[in-house]
Amino acid sequence: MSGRLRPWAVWGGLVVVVGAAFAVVVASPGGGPRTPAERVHSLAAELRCVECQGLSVADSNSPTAQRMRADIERRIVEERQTDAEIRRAYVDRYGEWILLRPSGGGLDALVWALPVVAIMLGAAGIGVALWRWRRQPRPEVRPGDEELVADLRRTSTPADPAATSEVAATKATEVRP
Amino acid sequence: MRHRARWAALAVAVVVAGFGVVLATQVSSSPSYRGGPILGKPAPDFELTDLSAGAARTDAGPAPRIRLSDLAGKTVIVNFWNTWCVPCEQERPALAEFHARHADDPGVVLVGVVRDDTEEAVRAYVDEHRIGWRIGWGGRLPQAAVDYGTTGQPETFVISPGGIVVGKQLSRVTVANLEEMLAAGRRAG
Amino acid sequence: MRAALGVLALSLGAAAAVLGIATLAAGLRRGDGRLLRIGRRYVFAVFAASLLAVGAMEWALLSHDFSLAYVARNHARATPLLFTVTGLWAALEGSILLWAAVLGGYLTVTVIRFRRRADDPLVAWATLVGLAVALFFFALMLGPANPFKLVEGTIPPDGAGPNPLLQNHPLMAFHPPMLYLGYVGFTIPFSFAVAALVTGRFGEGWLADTRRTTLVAWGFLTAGIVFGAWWSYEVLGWGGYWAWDPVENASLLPWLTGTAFLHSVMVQERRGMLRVWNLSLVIATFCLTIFGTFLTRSGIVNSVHAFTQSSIGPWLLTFLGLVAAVGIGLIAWRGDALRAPGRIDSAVSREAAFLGNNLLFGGLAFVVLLGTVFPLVVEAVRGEQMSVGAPYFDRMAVPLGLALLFLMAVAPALPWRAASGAVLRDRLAGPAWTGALAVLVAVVLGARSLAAVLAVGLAAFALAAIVHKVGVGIRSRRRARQEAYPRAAWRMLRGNPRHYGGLVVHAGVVMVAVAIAMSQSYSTKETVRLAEGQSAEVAGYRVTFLDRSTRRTEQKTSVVARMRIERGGRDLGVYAPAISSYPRMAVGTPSVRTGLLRDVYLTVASAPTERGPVTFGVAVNPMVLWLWLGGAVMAVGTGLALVPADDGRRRVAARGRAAGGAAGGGGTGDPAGAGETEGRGLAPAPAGVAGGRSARAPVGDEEPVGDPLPAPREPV
Repeated sequence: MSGRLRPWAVWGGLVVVVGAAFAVVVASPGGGPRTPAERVHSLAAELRCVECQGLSVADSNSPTAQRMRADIERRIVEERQTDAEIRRAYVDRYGEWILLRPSGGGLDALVWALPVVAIMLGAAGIGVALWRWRRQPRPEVRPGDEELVADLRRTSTPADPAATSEVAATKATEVRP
Repeated sequence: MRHRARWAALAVAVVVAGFGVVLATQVSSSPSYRGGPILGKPAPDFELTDLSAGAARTDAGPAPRIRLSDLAGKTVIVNFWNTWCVPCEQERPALAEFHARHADDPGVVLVGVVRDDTEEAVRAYVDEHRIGWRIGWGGRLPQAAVDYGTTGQPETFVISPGGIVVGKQLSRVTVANLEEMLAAGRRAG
Repeated sequence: MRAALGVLALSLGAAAAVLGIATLAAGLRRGDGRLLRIGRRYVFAVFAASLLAVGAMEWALLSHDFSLAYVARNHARATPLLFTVTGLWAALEGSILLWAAVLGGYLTVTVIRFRRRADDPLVAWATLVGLAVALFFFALMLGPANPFKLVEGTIPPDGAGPNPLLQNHPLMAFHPPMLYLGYVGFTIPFSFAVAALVTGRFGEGWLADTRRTTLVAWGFLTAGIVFGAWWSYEVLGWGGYWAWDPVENASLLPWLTGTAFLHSVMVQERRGMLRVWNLSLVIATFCLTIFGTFLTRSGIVNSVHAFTQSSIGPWLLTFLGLVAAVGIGLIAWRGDALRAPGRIDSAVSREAAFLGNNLLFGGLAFVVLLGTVFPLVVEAVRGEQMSVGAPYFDRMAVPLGLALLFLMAVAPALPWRAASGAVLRDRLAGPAWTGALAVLVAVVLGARSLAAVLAVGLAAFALAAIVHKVGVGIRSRRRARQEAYPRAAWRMLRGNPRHYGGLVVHAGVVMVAVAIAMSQSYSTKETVRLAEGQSAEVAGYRVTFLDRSTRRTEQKTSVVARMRIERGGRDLGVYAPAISSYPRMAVGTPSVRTGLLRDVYLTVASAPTERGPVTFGVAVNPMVLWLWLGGAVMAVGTGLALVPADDGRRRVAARGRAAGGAAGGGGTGDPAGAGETEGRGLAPAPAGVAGGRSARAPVGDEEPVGDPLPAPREPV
């Protein structure tokens, strides 16, 4: 593969193929009107089962969860409520904590924003560090340096830990399990 | 920026300390036993099978029902319970005494709604302990349990004569608690 | 009697820890090697005391001694033998006891490993810190979490028995101890990190000393987490393997930072950089293990695992605060002296990739930590409760996980220092096209979930890159030495087990990633109500309810429903989900038909009556088996990475020594290895270390062989 194909053929072709595939995925209808069963499941997945510890209503088999699923189905089929209305109804009864996805305003938005901010800051930090390192002049290797290093390697003994890395000294005395 | 590590360490220390304070306050706090989002809202109606000791029990004909809407204009205390929960058993004497005190008052009704239990177990329990107040059963987990926002049992609500939920208690009730709730219900009118 | 024995053992352990700390401290202060050697012996006493306490508790459990409150609450006469023994870690106090015993074991192993360096202040400080941690746990047990507390009032004739969820499955025997072997293991690198900061020896010494222990701890933690997921899926019966439960998150947090640490140490070994960062990472990992314990045990967050609220919370929080303060303080004190003059030359290099790895793992850890504690913070600030559940974690973790998959594919192929376009093309073009092909196939087959398609593509990319790397390594070895394929492969592995073990672990991660992507995106679950003889069709599988049987023991009433599964007319067997009703809870037991590509997951939704239709849950989950297989592969890879490297030099050196030849100066850097005479650290002629090594400095893309000394071998 190495010398025969030009770089742009290799990488460019890759981008084209993968891009096309993703375009198909993203453009596909996907959503559209969902069946009541799907809506029940997706709503139940967002509601917290009140008797369990952290499971969603969709996952739990507790009596309350089963009743809540039946209630959601009734709201969808008989009362024709929208997803938002059903969520609001449950929040009215149980409070914000019934929603597994934090969606209140204000403080709740922090839980979504903070990780993004933190990662972007981290990436920026690494970027800045890399940039600064590039601007540093590289240490020059002067004519006599190579011989000096080879000389030191030949003659120094690790009996003096200061001369070589600490690791060598450690290795000399550590007993393997 | 020379002492970079020190500044970073200081920042981390501040965050961790603040966090520690938050945790410390939460560790020592106890959950609240009163209140909830349903307070002040109209009480959801329910229709349940009447399993009270006095209700007629025939295999022929429709089972007797108990409806909240039938009790409009009265102060209703709704107590979610079942036969196997320990605090429910512990609060039963208080409920019994409260019921006895107000048995002759038509403006006060005590209703026990069964939450998470079987019909046979409830019937047996009602017979064995001679429960005098109205008992409603609506399947393993009645719709009312969800409508009232219950997360377990026992949970006790008081509904004013005007049909608004004015009180809620999550822990087991004492006679004093019940009297307080009754007073609050009457006040709300 | 047993209680007295237990308390005695705990007291002895605490006393030994105190004495050990005092002796070591005195020895360090006075520079007295003799005191240091004596001080380390107290570790054995601490371990012995913890074993004695464990023995006393097991004796109490096995002999149904209900005078102990712990036994009365967590054991019953009817409890089967296996679960009686595992009752040691069924609840809070016993878990602390297990923790102390495991810590004693790790400390003992460490002290024995470093027995020749007992005079070394680094080792002495590490032992001291380890003993201090052990002292804390003994103090916990002598204080709020006493496993040997006696019952108040009359001794009950029988106990309550363990939580039914904890005696459902033999896996109960493995999951907690394995997790603890992981958690507790991180105490050792933490102790060494603190020792390094205190003694000022923050070079690579402490890293080399703790490398194996860190890897062992990480391996056990990984296994513990995978076992937990397996238990959740096969036993708990809610149909999933990970619920983002606070306790699950508590075990994941140190795993994330521990994995970041395992990678970034390579940058420190190779380039001497990131010292402060590595020290911080390992201290943070240890803090997270304590924090996880705090989360689990204090009752502060409700969880499947949380036991009763106890007063242990404030103790753990205080200890955590102390550890954090010491760690942060030490780094603030020494931090600026730690800065190494290294630099990263290029954004496209192995070092930069490791930085990216740490950024992503750190980000993931931040997400998990934030999501877990955010409800607590909000409740403290606003007074109202809110939840952060699976929808949040899934949404945040998936992009980070995919980015990590990408890095995992690319990084092992990146050279150190800098990469040229030609090198990248050589190593990555083939694997990248493999990934693209996988994406194409997936889309053609009808996959429309972006995350799943991306995951499959990146997984194929990563796997192909691993295969390519191994293949190139074997081929170059064959060319250099004319060896047959199997022998070349074997020698290559043995020459650098750390590197290839890591690649095997990556292969396991690939399997796990595909399994997660597939099962999350393409699972089907339906609830069906069937009478005897009726069938339902779910995702191409036909399930028929055959019959039910009821079994009553003194503990529970179980209803077992037999069901036949068929697909395309073919009978796949009879499976029997059950539901057991204990006095106060009903526990479902799922029945799972594990297939290579798909699992059929059957549950009984609620306790049925004697007759009448039964409500079943029927789910079809793709690729779940690959989660467990991937976990096993990761374990194998970890084991491989622990094998000591053997690149032939030791044997040649031994031959050289036997022939009376001196080790020094003979080596001329023949990269084929035939002429090298140096030993590998055990050689009594350390001159061989310096002399036998080639004068050629390691260049660009050579792999360090196993241990941190960059010794050039053939370019891989």
